[in-house]
Amino acid sequence: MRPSTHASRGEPGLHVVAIARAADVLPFDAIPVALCRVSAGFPSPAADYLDGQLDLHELLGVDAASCYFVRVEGESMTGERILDGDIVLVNRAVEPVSGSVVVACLDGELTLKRLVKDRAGVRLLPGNPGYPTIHVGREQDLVIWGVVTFSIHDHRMRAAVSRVARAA
Amino acid sequence: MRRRDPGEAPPRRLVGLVDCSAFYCSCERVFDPRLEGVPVAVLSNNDGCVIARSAEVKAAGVKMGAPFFKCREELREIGAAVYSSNYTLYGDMSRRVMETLHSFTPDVAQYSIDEAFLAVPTPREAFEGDPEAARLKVEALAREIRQRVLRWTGIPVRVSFAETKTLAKAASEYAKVLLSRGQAPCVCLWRHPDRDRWLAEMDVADVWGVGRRWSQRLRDLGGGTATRLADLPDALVRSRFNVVLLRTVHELRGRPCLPLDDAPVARQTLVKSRSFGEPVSDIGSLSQALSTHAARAAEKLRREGLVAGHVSAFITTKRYGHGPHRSGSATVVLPVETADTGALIRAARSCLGRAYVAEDRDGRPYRYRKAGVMLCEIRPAGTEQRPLFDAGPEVATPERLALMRALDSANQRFGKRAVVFGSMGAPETLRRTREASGAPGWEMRRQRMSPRYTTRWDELLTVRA
Repeated sequence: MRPSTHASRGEPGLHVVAIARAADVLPFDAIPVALCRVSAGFPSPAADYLDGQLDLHELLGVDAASCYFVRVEGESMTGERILDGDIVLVNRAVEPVSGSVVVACLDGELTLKRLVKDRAGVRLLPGNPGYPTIHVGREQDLVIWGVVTFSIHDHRMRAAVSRVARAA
Repeated sequence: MRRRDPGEAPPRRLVGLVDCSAFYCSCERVFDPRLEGVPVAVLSNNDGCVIARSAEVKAAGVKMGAPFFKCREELREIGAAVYSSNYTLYGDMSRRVMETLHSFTPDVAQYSIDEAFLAVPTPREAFEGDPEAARLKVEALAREIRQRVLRWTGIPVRVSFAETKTLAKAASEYAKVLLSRGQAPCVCLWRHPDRDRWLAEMDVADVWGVGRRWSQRLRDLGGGTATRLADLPDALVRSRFNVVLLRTVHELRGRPCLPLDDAPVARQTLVKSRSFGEPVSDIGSLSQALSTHAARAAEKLRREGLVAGHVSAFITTKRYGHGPHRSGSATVVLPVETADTGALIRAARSCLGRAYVAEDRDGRPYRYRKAGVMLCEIRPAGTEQRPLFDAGPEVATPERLALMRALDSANQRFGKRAVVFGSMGAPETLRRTREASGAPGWEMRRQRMSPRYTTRWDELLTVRA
């Protein structure tokens, strides 16, 4: 593109493609810095093998507009290794296919279950034998609020004690 | 409307308006699905007036801005859920909506908390002799935008496209009509079969940019509908009104005159004020309130890279309620422009000292209901005049600037008002927001605020497993 040409979107014959917004391309804090100054001292052998820092936001997809943190209350999903007091990351953009763990809204009430859709119909499965499977009837209103992608569990003793204390 | 001749070239791009429906109410519904179908109203600061109404509340006749105490009964009768405004939540949801729009195109210009314009290139079918196909493509895109925003954020939006921003705004009204007929509120007004009829029926007062003052004069001149306004001669519009209206007229004719992203005017003043939850008479509480407003104003100045030269403070009893009424204010000219919290607090308190009167001639105390701080003579930071005389302890030395940066950084990390100046009051006073305590607090009443679901770990949405 010659500097004197003024390009505009949609002009026939000239195709301008937006690749990305600068703000999206730069990670929020992981801008690699040179490990050493070239001028003085011992040049690090690692200088050529620069890497960014591990970015949890990137791994979990936390920054997406469609991701929400939700707290879990209750024991029906313990078999799925989601425990009472855990935090789950719910992504509303993910397609809720059969087998997904979802936050479902059944007749206005939010519940955390595994979604199953097959020839027998739609069911919400618990992850604990002590809880019933919910068969979703045709007259019921089921909306999937979002799909659970990750869960956060605090393994420290303090958390276990407080759970026990609550049960007592 | 001046008839478009078939030879006229299609526009290179189309402007879309994405407009959230009853935004604050919709935000509340996302996190409490039991509210679906239930009338929802949201109140202004201090639970004073209705600032957001769901469709059901509108239908019940409750007006926008109606004082809460006046429509409380009506709202109770229709079983409405009433909330205090949760701006923290609304701001975050707005960000999410805008980000979702960015997934379609980088050309997004946010216009307000719940509206944005965006631009898309006109589909090539328009240039290949099939404008109808192009229009249908754009309408399909509009539906896709609505779908994705609804899916990712739970917020329902109207999406309307046209050749210009003014026409996109007009099309948005048409989209509301479509919704009431049970269709998706997604429309492309360009080359729409109902376009001419719709613009001929649209009252001139509803055209974006035409205010109440002008609409009557325009009706008298024969420009009482959008179409008639667009047909007025340029010379008449320019001489009887101004160039701003002329731009609106051209936009109605299909010629874009407004840039997508209107550059905001540099800030002239900054006001931070609040009405009190309970009337306040003592200078100590007023001082705390003003110190807090001054601190918030200082934060905003720093955030926007500005400094201020004049500080004013005002206190008022307002004009209703019992007791003697008065308003008082005073201004301090700072020796050097600054955004330093300490300097601005000192100035605000100095103003209060001059503006405060405890009681009237008969000994009855003034019960103040509102206080605020106003900053003027605002300039970009870095353009301050060097002081001729002693500028006080808060001169912008590197250490002082570093202190301000540390203050902002700590408040950002640990939450608003994690670190405060002593003059702003003890933590208990500052936190007395939701408790109905016996002692008077000047913090605003927000008794029905929903949790800050998306910004506080301790206020997350809870789901039963």
